[in-house]
Amino acid sequence: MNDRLLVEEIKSGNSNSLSSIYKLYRSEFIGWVCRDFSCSTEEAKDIYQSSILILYKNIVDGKFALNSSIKTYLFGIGRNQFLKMKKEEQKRSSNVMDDLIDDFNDEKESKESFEANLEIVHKSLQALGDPCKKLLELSFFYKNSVEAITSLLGYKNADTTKNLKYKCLQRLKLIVQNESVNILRSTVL
Amino acid sequence: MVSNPQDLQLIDRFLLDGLSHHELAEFNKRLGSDPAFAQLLKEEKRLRKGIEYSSLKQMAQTLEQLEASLSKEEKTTISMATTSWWSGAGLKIAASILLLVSASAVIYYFLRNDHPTDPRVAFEDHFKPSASSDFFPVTRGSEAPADLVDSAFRQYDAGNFKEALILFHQIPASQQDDVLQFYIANAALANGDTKQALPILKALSQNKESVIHFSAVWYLALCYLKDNNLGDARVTLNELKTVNNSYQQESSELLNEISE
Repeated sequence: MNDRLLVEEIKSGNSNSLSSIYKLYRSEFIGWVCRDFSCSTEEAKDIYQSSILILYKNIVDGKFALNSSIKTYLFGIGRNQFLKMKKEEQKRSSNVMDDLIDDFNDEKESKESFEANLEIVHKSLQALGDPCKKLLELSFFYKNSVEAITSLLGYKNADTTKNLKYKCLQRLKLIVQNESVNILRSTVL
Repeated sequence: MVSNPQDLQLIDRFLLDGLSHHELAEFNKRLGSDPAFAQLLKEEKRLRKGIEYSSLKQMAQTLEQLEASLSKEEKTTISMATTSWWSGAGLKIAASILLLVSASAVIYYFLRNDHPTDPRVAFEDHFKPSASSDFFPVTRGSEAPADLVDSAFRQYDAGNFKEALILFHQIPASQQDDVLQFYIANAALANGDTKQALPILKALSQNKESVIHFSAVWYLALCYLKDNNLGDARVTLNELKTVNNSYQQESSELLNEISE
């Protein structure tokens, strides 16, 4: 599958395409990082996972515009991740999530409070389940149009999708509210 | 708080930069005068960030699981290969060898030379595109437009070899010198395009007076390896092994790796 198709597949919410990319470049990337940056295999694997996750987000956000190949872009991210790791002595892939949380936090809330809210939405979304979960992810993470979602999820028409999206959002909000109240109760008790 | 679908659609379009100038002005006006609407916008933004975060977190977990499964597969493969070799015919072969040849130096010789590295694996292990600072711009004699050459090398340095090649080829042929040709060959080789790299490196390696002579010979050998042409790779590496140059040691090591 060529790069353009892979990018389109990822933007349509097909996570298997990212897994294909992961398997395709894993061995070469890890070998390259170990050889050129004198990293251990475990460190190289961490850098690879972080790099793939950043590639994923940049594809979804439209920051990767196929001006270079996926491979070149991924290895470029890898080089930066290595330099960052060395600079900050960050070694675990979870730190990429920390960075992403910082990016999201544009209103500069306290990190703990902001992260707690994100976790509540995450748990609530899992509780919501499909098809609502899938619909909201396609809409707000992959930023697909209503028409594209209608086609991807096989709904009758765009109006059906709009109504479902609204209902799903309301249901998610309700679960988030309940979850927040439960956490508050358990903190008070 | 239950919001109406129209407000949600409006916020949706606002967050996706889909409002016209007029709509945007109205939107901002309402934000200033309608606290409930401002609160709704805040909640919606928070919810959407939560959905983005959740999607990324799920993907991070998927990747961790995938990595764990690939690592496990690798360990199993290595373990099975080792086990089957030692429990099968390999054990008998090793025992026979040990009986026949007692000197450890001979066993070492056997282990090293009976398992030559695959030429393409050897290529991956040894190929690293020549840094632009190796020969550029000190010895560059090209009179090509500086910005075009600089742009090409900027792409080259960034590892964007495909883009670098496009720019290199835009430099007029009359202004191409050996150094530029050398980097074109390197970029082509990095892209896996040996058809383009091979004739250039062959031509460059003929000029023994050139500052890039030994580098051209080295990359020519790597080009042969990439093409799985072991015979020519060996001949070319031998050329480097026998004279004093900066690739002498690595050539010798590479020859050992690919020797029969």
